[in-house]
Formats: sequence, C-alpha cells, structure tokens
Amino acid sequence: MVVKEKINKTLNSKGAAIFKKMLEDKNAISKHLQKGGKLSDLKDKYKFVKPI
Amino acid sequence: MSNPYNLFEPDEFSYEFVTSQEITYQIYFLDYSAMFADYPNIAEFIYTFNIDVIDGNEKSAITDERIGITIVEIFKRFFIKIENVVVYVCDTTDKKHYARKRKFDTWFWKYNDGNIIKEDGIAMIEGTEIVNALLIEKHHPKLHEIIFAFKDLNNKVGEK
Repeated sequence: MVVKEKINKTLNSKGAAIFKKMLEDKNAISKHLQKGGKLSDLKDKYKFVKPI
Repeated sequence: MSNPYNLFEPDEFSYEFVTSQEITYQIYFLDYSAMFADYPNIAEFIYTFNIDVIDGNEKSAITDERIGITIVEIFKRFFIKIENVVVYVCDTTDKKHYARKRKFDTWFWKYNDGNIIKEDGIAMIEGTEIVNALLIEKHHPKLHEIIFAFKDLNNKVGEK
C-alpha cells in the first residue's frame, strides 16, 4: 500500500498538460494585470471570450 | 440577502466590479475548447475563468459577502447557455490553493441556487497537486459524459 502511494506520487494525471497550461496562463495573465497591464495587450496570445 | 455589486464591462474581454471597500475585481473567461480536443465529450463550449484584484488591498479588507454573490451572479448569467462548461484551477504559487478553494466553495454552496453542479478534482503534475473543479449546468445534455471525462482527466496515468 505504501509502495503504491509512493509510485502514484510520481505519476502525472491524464490531464496534466491541460491543467499545467491553465495554471501557467492564469499566473502569466495575473502578473500582467498586477503590473497595470490590460487584457487587450494579451489578446493575440490568449483566447479571451465573453460567453455571457 | 444582499445584492450583487454592479458589473462593468471595461473592455470586450472582461467584467469588473468595485466593492464598498474600494477593491476592484476583474473577471475574465478564456476559451479552452481547443485544449480539450482529445476529449470530444467535453471539448465544446469549455472555458476557464480567473478572478484578479486589480486595485485595492484585498488582504486588509473585512469579509464582504457581496463579492461571492456577485461572482455567483456572473456564473448564473454564464450558464443561461446550458452547454457552457467551466474548468478552473486554483493558483498554487503561494501554496494557498486550498484557502482559495475553500473561499470559492463557500461562495458556491452559499449562493448557488442548485442549478450549477460542481465537481472537484486534484490533478497530480510532477509531484504537485493542482486543485481544480468543473462547473456545469444540471440540465446540460451531456452532463454525465462530461463529469466522467473530467474525472478521467484527474486520474493518474497507469493507475489501477
């Protein structure tokens, strides 16, 4: 059981690449906004939408 | 119950509201449909969203229930189109991802009218836990397939 838990810690989730990209995008955009930047500056890099 | 704050649309990409303690929140959505191409059951109308404080000091602010009410109001509008799906992650950079999850969960359980279903996930990426969640309208025509696919995304490769 202990061995299995140790093995699982080294395994990535199937959606790892997606969640990692989400997190990286989130942090990059957040940093840009904290520096006073606008979302429009990043419109070519990210697909902002207003789905409402 | 208190009213949500007035929502502004400062540009074509985001929403903003200003609290009574003069903290400005910016909320925006990103289209992630393309990233889910390998998961056709959840590839359509899939978005992520982020909330950022762009002005004011959130840390010194006292609890303000209208913030949660306003966020949930945005989601109620978002889910008028019942095919819309949200997947979001909690920032891990400062190790406060579980605190963020608790805050969002509190808002969700307190102000959700029952039409939005939330499914929590924890993805493992190179030994780090990424707290994430799915939000979906309960009448979504592919509700069960999407929840199944979301759980599959969080499963570890090779896990029995």
